[in-house]
Amino acid sequence: MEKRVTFKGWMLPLCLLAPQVIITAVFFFYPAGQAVWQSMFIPDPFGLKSQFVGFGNFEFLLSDRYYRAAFATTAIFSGLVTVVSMGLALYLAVLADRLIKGSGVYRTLLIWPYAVAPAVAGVLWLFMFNTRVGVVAWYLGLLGYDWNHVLNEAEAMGLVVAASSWGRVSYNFLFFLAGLQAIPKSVIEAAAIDGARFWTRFRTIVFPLLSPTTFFLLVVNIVYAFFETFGVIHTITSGGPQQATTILVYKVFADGFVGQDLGSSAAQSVILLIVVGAMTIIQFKFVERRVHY
Amino acid sequence: MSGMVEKRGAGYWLTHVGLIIGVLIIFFPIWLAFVASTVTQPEIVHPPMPLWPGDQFFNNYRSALVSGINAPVARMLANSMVMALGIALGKILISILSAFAIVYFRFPGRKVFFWLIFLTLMLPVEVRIVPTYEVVAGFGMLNSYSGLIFPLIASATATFLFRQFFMTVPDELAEAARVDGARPMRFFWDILLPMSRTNIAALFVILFIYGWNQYLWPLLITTDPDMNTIVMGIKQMFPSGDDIADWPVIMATSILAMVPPIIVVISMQKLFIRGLVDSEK
Amino acid sequence: MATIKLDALKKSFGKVDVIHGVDIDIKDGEFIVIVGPSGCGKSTMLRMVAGLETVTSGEVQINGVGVNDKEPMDRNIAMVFQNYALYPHMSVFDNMAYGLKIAKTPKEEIAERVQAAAKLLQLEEYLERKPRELSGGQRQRVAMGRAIVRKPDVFLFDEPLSNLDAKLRVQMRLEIKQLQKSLGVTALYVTHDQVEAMTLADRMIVMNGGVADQIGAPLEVYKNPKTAFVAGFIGSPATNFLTATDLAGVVEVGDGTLGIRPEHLQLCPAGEGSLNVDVLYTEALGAETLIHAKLANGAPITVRQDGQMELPESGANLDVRWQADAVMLFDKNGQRVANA
Repeated sequence: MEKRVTFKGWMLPLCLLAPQVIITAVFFFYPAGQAVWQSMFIPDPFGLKSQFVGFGNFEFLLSDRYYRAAFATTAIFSGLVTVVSMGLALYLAVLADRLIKGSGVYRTLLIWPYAVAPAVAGVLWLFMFNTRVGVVAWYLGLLGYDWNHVLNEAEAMGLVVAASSWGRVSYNFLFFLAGLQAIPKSVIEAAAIDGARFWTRFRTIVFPLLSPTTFFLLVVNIVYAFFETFGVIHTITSGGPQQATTILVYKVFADGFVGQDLGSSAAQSVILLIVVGAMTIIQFKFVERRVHY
Repeated sequence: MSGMVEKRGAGYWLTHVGLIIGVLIIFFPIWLAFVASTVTQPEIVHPPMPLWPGDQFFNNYRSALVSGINAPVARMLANSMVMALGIALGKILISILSAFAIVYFRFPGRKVFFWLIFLTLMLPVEVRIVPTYEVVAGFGMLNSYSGLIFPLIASATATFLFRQFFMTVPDELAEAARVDGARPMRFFWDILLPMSRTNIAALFVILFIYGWNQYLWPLLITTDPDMNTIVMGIKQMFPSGDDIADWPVIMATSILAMVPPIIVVISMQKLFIRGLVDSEK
Repeated sequence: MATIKLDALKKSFGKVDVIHGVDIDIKDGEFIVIVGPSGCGKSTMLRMVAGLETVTSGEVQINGVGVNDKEPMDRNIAMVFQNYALYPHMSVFDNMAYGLKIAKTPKEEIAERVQAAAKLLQLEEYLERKPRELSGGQRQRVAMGRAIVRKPDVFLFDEPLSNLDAKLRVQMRLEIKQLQKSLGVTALYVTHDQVEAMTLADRMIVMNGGVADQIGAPLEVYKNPKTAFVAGFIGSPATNFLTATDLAGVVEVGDGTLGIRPEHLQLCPAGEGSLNVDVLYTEALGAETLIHAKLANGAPITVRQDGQMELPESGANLDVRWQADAVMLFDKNGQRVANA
């Protein structure tokens, strides 16, 4: 894609580009390069000198029990957040799409959580399930269930998944609703005339036609769960108990800022960089394909 | 609307019931926070807390806004506002200029700049926090607005969006402007900028919320409570150790932290949804 | 008021030559139509005159002055685009006034000139509207108005009517012609529609693959095409081309072709004409009738006759005949050769 018309000159465009290029160079490329560079060093305990170790940090990380556990935790966490938030959103979007009138009202109500910061969502959910004052935890206790996400690893994971998914439902709902409303009604009517009941129609017509949206959301939600849920984890569990909710991004923070292990933290950043890069490529391929639809 | 195919009857009402249950579940955490922000501390620490608002609304919010816990929440709100506006407006400004340069000019190194900028797509600040922190510290930008803003506008998402929009602007418009005697910047101000109004507005909503909701970055670089943003400041309000948190004030702060972005999203809903669906697709 | 001269004008995009050297002298006030199929380089040529494309070699002169290095705004031209290129966020008034504002024309004069143009184009009621609130024909007029207010030396039209429906196109064609004549402005007009070319042009340039095959007055081009391409492109339905095998024993054409326009053929009973044909089907259009037939070897041939004449039946075996002076002979490169 190129424009046919262009303006002449090169000073003006370079001046126009300069702010972005300078900011990107200073605050993006230099730090990203630093991350790659630092990932190949181990600083001494006083932070005075560094020793070059090549891929040593990576080798150590990949053999490190805790890092591998963080990988597994991230996979479980992202998978659950993606499935829960997309499932709930799809359910609500299908219902809203069935309405001829009034879907706009529900849409307005359902987009609220989009505006709520993950860290604030974490505080809200923490408040509901707080072991001392949490009203949901209290009612669960009344039912004989002793809720304690501070000690119980599965409950901790459940809580961060719930809080992260909650904030994500709005986003997924908007895309699913847009996707559903873009399906030509004639196709669905034709299926109805062919005698397909609602569930059959959904399974054989609607869901396949929705697959571009679904696939797009899958990638975007995994990226979200990987990176943007830091606030949820930090406010609710701080990675605990026993690192049960330490996802990769949290570990970069914990090792780099709390543990001051810069080499390892940088190596972790580089690994995340590769993961994001791969996802970006997947998404771009997908975007390209979408253009031809 | 597949509803066209459905009969109006039990299914119709079940649809509404299903949606209402969904809305209630989605709203419950916010409702509970609001209730907590209107009652007294004893009402909360002796569970179960009430599920209907109490009469302490003004007390709790005044207490939060004026004194807060570490810093007045009013101060944190102002910081968040500066940061969110700085990120939204700053990113829009640098992005629209560079997109204009990339789309409407041919100059040496254009392709290189294009790819350098586009490499930054989708790489969140979380991934490069440690070195970015060092850069910002090196510039003496800790506890400053510029330190809060600049690292978060160093990405190309908005540039990409503007580029895509500019590509859809018919070539003939620029040609007509040239025939009319408009030089490049004149064309930019008179034609391109007004035509981008809706895109700018939609992008503003998305970036404002992105900036407002930042957590990790302000957590790292604002050690001075007076520079805390509200979203990261809430966590700082929790006491360390076994002390009991001041829940009404914390919850009032949480509600205050949600109000500006919710107002922006709801009031600019149409623009925002269009912008969101367009930008992400 | 201006003369234009194109002197050995060439254009290449990279290694691809799209214009192979065009020469023409355009007189002041003349209406020149550049016509040809898509991809023949006609728009590129217009854009070089406008200054929107650079000239690879040769020269564009306006009023005897070379303008190759001048910006569009310094050439005193105005252009009407195929999609009108109206600024969507500006009112009709502002669209027309934009160029004058940039030129820092005094406000009163801008208002005066826009009003005058609006009156001429019957746009007075619409001056406050946005382009999207106008019909296709009105938008077309605004685009014209934007060209007129600048009082240019030259009008450039790039397929200005192709986005209009057929009826409006005929009407606007007339209006453009009248406007150009009354203003006396030299005009260059690009189209792929040979009817537009025939009706509008004082002279036309028939382009074929980057070469100006023929430059001349419409009827001259029609009557005396210099190449087989021109003979085929100008005139509807298209000229019949017959090769040696089609014409075995009738006319000697060697490795060239014989062109004969449908209107120069007459049907006659078998045995009375030059070539025997089988009628395939007929299209009665009222004023005229088109008869599609095939020769003994299967080659198609079209005959046009007056609508009053008797329709032949499908499948009828008839002959066609023609006046010897209606025949056009072309060599194997498509160049016209003198009738033997």
